[in-house]
Amino acid sequence: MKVYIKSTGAFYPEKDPESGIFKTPKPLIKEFVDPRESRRMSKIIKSGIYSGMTALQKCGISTPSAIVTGTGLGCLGDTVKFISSIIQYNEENLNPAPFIYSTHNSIGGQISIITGCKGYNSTFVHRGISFESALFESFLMVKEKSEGDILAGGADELTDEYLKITERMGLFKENCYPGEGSGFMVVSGEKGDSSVELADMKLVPSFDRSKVEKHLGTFIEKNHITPENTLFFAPFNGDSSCDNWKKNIISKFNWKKIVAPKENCGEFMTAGALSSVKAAETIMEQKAENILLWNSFLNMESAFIFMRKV
Amino acid sequence: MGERIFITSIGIISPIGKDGGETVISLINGKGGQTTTKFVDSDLARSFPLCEVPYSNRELADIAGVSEEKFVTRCSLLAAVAAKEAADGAGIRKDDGISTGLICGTTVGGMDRSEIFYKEFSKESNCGNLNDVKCHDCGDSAAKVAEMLGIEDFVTTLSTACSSSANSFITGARLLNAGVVERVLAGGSDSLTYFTVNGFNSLRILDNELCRPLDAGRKGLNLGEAAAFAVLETEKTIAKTGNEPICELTGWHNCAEAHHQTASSPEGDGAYSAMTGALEKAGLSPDKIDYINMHGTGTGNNDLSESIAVRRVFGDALPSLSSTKGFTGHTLGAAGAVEAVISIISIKENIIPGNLRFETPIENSELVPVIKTVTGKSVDNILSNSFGFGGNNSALIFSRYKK
Repeated sequence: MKVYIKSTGAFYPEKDPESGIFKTPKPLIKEFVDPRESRRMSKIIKSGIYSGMTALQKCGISTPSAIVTGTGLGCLGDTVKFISSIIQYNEENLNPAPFIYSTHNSIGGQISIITGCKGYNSTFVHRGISFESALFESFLMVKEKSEGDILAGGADELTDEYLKITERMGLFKENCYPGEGSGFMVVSGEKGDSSVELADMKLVPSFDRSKVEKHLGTFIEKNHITPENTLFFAPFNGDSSCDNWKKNIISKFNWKKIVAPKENCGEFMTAGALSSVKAAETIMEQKAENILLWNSFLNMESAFIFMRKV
Repeated sequence: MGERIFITSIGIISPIGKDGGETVISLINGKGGQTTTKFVDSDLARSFPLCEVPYSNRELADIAGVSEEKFVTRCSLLAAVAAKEAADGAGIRKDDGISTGLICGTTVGGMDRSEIFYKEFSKESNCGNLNDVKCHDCGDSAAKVAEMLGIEDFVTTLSTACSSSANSFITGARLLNAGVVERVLAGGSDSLTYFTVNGFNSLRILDNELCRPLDAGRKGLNLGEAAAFAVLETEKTIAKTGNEPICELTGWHNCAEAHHQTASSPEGDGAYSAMTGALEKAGLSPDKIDYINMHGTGTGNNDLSESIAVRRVFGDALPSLSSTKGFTGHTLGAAGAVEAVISIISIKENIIPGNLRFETPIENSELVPVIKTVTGKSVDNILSNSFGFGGNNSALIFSRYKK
């Protein structure tokens, strides 16, 4: 069974000209959620709701049959808020709201409540392949014909604490800047008006560069991908210690047409969700017929996604 | 119909034992795991009973045969102990020619260390040892365990609150059905943290005495910590490994309740759908279930809605049932796997675990659990419930292995 991407929704960050950091504006979701409900929601939850509901709205689906999400670090803002309150108030009389909303499955849970989706609901939290794990499970669910229209997506958010800690760690170097945002898509076994097929995916947990190269080669061969007519979405983030070995591998396959989607959203664990949305939209807009996407957060896990025009 | 999914090995570390054997003994002896805590740095530990695994991080590292300095967090050390027991039992070896996936469920991952960091960091942003915060992310334990066992074919982590590691089994079964890998190590891990103890206290659902799941007078839950894993293999895989199945994973269902971020619906709709979905998947009618391992946290809301849902599914013909959280406490992200493993052990050892401290049934549902663990009782089909915040409900069915 073929898997189609019916629609996409995304909430993009903007590059701050001074710091270079990619931050999202305030997500406006009153179209989807009563403001009395949303006032306690953090940025990541609103961002996820915005992207998820936009994707559903675009293909005219009010209730998806399943919701599968991914997040690298989850609801960091609420996590920090709650732990700060524990320290500040010495473990007494705490407001539970930030704790409640700090759970990683908050976005999937909230979208299920908004849409009345009582189907399968899961959340993946495996670093740089959190979104790709969610998309892969959705892909398998369509293949096994267990679900109809699945909403799959990923989201992460920046906090001041995260920026300070990663700065101390020296995590983001050279021209690599942290980012945040969310990307969702509706995947289905029914073609409908879709013009994009999610043809294949492969997740590679290994950090071993020669193994990553081997898996990429196998993936290209298995799917008969040809560099001449396939646009490559590369995981480059602006840090040469991350990019050089990846460039080296890609060059071995003689790729000509390469884009680096993280130039527009920065580096974060679910940047792959925005890259994937961008890839699907590029095919929808008829700017490419085949796209091979390689995502990898810094020098960690890798994921390969192959999309093509229907 | 997909592949048959066999359970060939288990591993567990919880407040009632550091392996499967100790767990069975504690269940039979009716010995709960609530202790005076030694490792959680929270004033609340003086007011509320907690179920702590009675080993320091150093001791956990020694049991697993790993480096404490490398594993850093208690979550990953607990995971290492249980995953190693399960992997050893199934003979999983690096480069043994069988493709293997690892799926781990957790709710707070490396929080036990990041909260130590944060106490310093919040005073002054240049303070706090970065080594304590580098393993904060939930994927860290799975990555460490995968490296320890040489698992490279598929590794991921799930977090759906208190149903996290039940969902590891569901995603694991899906991977096997699709032929992504030949064998899956599925489970989960969570350690007690200052963060979660305070979180559940802020919701006012911690019992200040030993918890009484399913009892009319229940006042809340006791938090616990644990890790548990099981090895899932297909028919083709056991032909290669020669492993004897302990039992079969025959039914599973995950559904959203779409009701409320933290509370279950009063009619138990989500629980009802999870159970009936799993029964349908297994092709079993409710009367074939011999025992239900309830989610049974001990909170007013969960136990009422779950027991009403059980009545709706089973009517007057109730199977034996109990919540084992009186023994282990609520181990959050590990709970689904802990109770799956207890269910698997129950089939293997012919026991029905008891429900500690039950006295009076809940009005409306009138469920009377098995109070003292029954031995020498053959059970063929076990239903295990796991429900989480966000309305994430899952149910698993384990069945006696038949050729």
